Amino acid sequence: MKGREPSEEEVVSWLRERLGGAVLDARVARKRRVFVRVDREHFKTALIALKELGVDFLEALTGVDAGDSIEVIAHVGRSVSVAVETAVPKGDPRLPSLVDLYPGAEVYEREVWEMLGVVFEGNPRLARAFLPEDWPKGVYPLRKDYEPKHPEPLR
Amino acid sequence: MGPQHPIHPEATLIKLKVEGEHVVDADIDASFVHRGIEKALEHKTYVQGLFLAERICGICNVAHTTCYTLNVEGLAGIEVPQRALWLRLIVEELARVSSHLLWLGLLAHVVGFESLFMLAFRDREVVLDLMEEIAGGRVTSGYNVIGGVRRDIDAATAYKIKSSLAKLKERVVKYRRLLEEDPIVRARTVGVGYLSPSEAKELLAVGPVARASGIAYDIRVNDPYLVHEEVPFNPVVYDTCDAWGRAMVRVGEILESIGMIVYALDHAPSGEIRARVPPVFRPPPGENVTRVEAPRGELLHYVRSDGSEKPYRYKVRTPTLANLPAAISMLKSRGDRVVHIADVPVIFGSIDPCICCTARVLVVNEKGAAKEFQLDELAAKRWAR
Repeated sequence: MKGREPSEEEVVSWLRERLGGAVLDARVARKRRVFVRVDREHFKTALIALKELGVDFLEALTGVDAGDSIEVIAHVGRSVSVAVETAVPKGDPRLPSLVDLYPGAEVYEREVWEMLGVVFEGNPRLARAFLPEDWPKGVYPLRKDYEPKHPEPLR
Repeated sequence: MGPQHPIHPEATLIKLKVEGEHVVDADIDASFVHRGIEKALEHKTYVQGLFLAERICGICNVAHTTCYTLNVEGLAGIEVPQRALWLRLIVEELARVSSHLLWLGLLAHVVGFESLFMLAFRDREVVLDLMEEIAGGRVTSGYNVIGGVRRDIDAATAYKIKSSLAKLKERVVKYRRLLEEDPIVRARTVGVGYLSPSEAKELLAVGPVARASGIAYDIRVNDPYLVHEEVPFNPVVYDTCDAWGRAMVRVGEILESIGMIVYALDHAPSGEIRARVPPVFRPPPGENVTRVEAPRGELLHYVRSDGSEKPYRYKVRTPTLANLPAAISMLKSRGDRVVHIADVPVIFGSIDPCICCTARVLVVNEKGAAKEFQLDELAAKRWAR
């Protein structure tokens, strides 16, 4: 399947074919934008399947605090940008690392780990990179229960 | 390697492991200027957030506002007038010229070519003056707003832009020849900071770094977000895989950008420049992803709305973050490709972070004694060898 980039519809049908019921939702939002939701066990499988299809560039990893769970979104693709979304419960925020698929994913996983506390199992260097050295352990600033101190405006 | 420059979002401490003069390992620490902008954006309305997004980066502020406005407009379903898209393209390309000229100057400074440094910064003034004429601000232009742009470009300004850029073009052609032929520049950049095409792909390099490693990928071609389908240009691709190639890509892009600006000035349709948007609005629940080719590479913004007047989550992935793994790989000596400490500024500079960040290098020997070098001393050290 290499050489040509798959279209939006090809991405959706390929994922449905390969993963079946694990694809909770798949939609073409607009031209060159696909949003896919898979269950946690099939997050990496979905990315492997997409890589086989030729969607083989990881643009970013986003983490979103969605109340009881944390959603992790992998933005993959070149022309067509596919957002593969999954949710992990806050009590057990673990996902397999993508470093063996995309060595450059290391720094993105570090960011999501630091900001939202999602542990990527298999990342060789899940260490502090963005927060201050004296940042307390177990405090994840991008979670909704963390409220930054707002300095009083000068008057 | 640090410290950092306050205007740059990606100021970075690079920890180097060295054996004598050779760098064997590197790691990053980007914590010094982490300002929590993503969190802050959750506390601002969409219109207020624009001003914060503009200040993510000083030099590529236009790329950030282009991405932010397109992202929010896509989320809220706001129709932007055609002319506004053309004007956004003109200002975005102008900002690219300014950014690449700045970078060219810093490269010249690092390799010890001070006269080219002066010339590049003099020429950048031409662009900044034009930016002031168009937008009112020299660096942080504040030109894009949600729904369109703030000011129109009239015929007199268009004439001024064209005549200034014609002069600039001649000079840039001269600099390109200089990069091709000058022994100083070539000695310091050719073969330095090698990144093979397969590594560039694996390490997720973007922008000029990827294009200098032969990966012909440019968001403006692959995912046109303004009116790029109607404006002719050629992505600049080199396959030398080194710092010299990255310099040539950027200089080539300046010339392409100038061509695009002139074409857009001639062909932009007339009409409205802005759709009126209320200061507080509530987009429907949903999400949106927008990508923009910033001067440093692909920039990605992701927004999620829960139906309120503020974004539920706003994510920014800047190109320098994407290029850091590649930069770390370039910094490591492997086999015959030895990386000297003196090459570090050139290599790290070749991914176009704010090079002021690399003003000092901390070298720790096995006994733990530390010695700090200024960037200039490093350059001199290379020449003394």
